[in-house]
Amino acid sequence: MKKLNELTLKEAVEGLKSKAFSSYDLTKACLTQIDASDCELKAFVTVLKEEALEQARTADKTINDMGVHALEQHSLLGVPYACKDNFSTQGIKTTASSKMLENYFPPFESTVTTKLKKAGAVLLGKTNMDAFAHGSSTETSDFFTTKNPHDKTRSPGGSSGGSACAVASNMCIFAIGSETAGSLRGPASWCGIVGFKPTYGRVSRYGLVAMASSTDSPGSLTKTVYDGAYVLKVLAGKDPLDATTSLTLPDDYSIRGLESLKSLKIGKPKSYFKIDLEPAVRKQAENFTDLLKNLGAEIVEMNLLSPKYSIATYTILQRSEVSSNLARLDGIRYGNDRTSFGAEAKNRMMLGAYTLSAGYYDEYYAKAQKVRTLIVDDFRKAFSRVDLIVAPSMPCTALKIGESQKSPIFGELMDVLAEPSSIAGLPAISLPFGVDEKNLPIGMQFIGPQFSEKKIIGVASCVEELCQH
Amino acid sequence: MDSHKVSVDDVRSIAKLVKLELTDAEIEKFRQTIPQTLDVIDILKELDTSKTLPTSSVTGLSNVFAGDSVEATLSQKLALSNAKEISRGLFVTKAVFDRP
Repeated sequence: MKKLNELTLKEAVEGLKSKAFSSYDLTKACLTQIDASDCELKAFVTVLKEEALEQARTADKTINDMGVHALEQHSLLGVPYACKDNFSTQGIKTTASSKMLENYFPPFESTVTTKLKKAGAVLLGKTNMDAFAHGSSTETSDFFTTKNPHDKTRSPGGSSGGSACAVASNMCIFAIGSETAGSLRGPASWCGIVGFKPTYGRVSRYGLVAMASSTDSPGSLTKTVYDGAYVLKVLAGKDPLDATTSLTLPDDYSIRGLESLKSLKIGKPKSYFKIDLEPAVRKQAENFTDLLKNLGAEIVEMNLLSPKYSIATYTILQRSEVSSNLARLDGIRYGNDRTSFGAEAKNRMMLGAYTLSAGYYDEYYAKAQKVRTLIVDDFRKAFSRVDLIVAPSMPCTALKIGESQKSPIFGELMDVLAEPSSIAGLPAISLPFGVDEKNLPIGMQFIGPQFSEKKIIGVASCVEELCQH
Repeated sequence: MDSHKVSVDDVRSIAKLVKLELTDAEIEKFRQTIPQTLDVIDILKELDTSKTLPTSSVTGLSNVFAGDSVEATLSQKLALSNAKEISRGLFVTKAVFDRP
């Protein structure tokens, strides 16, 4: 029998509804697992033990008083979760894993954590990440490196590495992360869990420590596709505090998986398979498309702009936005002074300032914005022919800790398969699909047009169900 | 592919733009890594964008305004709660002018 901390979100909610266990028991089980594992895995920057148990007691009281209705009104009531440390939590230290913000206690709450709080979720703690989300390995954290639960000498991926590690090692029921380009899909892939990046503008960025504002997207790291959909239902929607959130009403994401993929066309971009993929990843990607075919989908080989252009475009756009966003950190209103920036933040600000500076703006920033148009149009054309696009999530499985130091654009190279869709603001999900010869998880992704989350969930659930049986 | 050259003075002037004080070792590192990165992004020159308009936002939204209403905001105490130095209820900033 599963331990309580090993439950999926769906199982946890069902158990709380039927009073098979209390939120206190569930939360205690997660905290016990944190006590046992986190000294080695180092997923958490802050653990809120007493606060979480107190929240759990309150949730239990509400469930006792109101019965099952309590969970109908508050869909995450009593469910313990972990949150990436770049979401502002009022009165709770929010560091973005940076020395700069090591003692920052936000005076306000992010919209994402406000919504989770209203839904009754219990916050276990704040998770480690690449400092300011600058990286794809969680090694650029100014505090410590998070380990991959499948092999502790390897990276969990990043930048939401702490959250992914916490889910994969059952230290929480689900976790929140954010993705600018690959920061949910990457760690989900390397840790063998589900990472769901919604359409840009589907979930509010208010109170999220900004990295690249034109692509930052909050999302979830969960044990199943159903769980990711369940969390998205809580998070999605227009927020007056974030002008880029969409007026399009969220769909009902709590759907069953499709029974078959008949009548679906799924694009297989040749250029994504031309890049340097690890043999095991390539083989699994082929197996995955065969599986989709067996489920009734029509696989359409298609031409998409090579992701190598997205590496360059993303590098320019993201670093330019970083240099602008981090300019606000003056150490006067909050945070330390600018001498406390880590190497990676400096690296990104320097290049960003260069690509934005007079004389280079047109050559780099303006050019990248134009290529962004080409990328957006390229996807638009693709989605007039197919429903979704399939590809591996990462070019390789989890790398050894230390590998990230070998290139000044390591993150951009690792996130190559996520960058095009992030630049275009598209939704995508990464789900685990088998392992390599070292027993390390491999992830496959579905990418859809803007606001196609419902379709992505339907297809991903169908595949997941088949893989489990 | 072009090989980019970035001088020590270039690095210093970029650092000034982003208000970073760099050590000599860091200056040397950036003198090498900035051109490496520029070499990679040169690939965009392969794409013809002479007739392409730039995209700064993918949402399609424009002129999004907040409602014309008064909303609760942070109290002075909360707004100052993370400041290293405050004086008479205000942030202490660096001086802009030198005193004579």
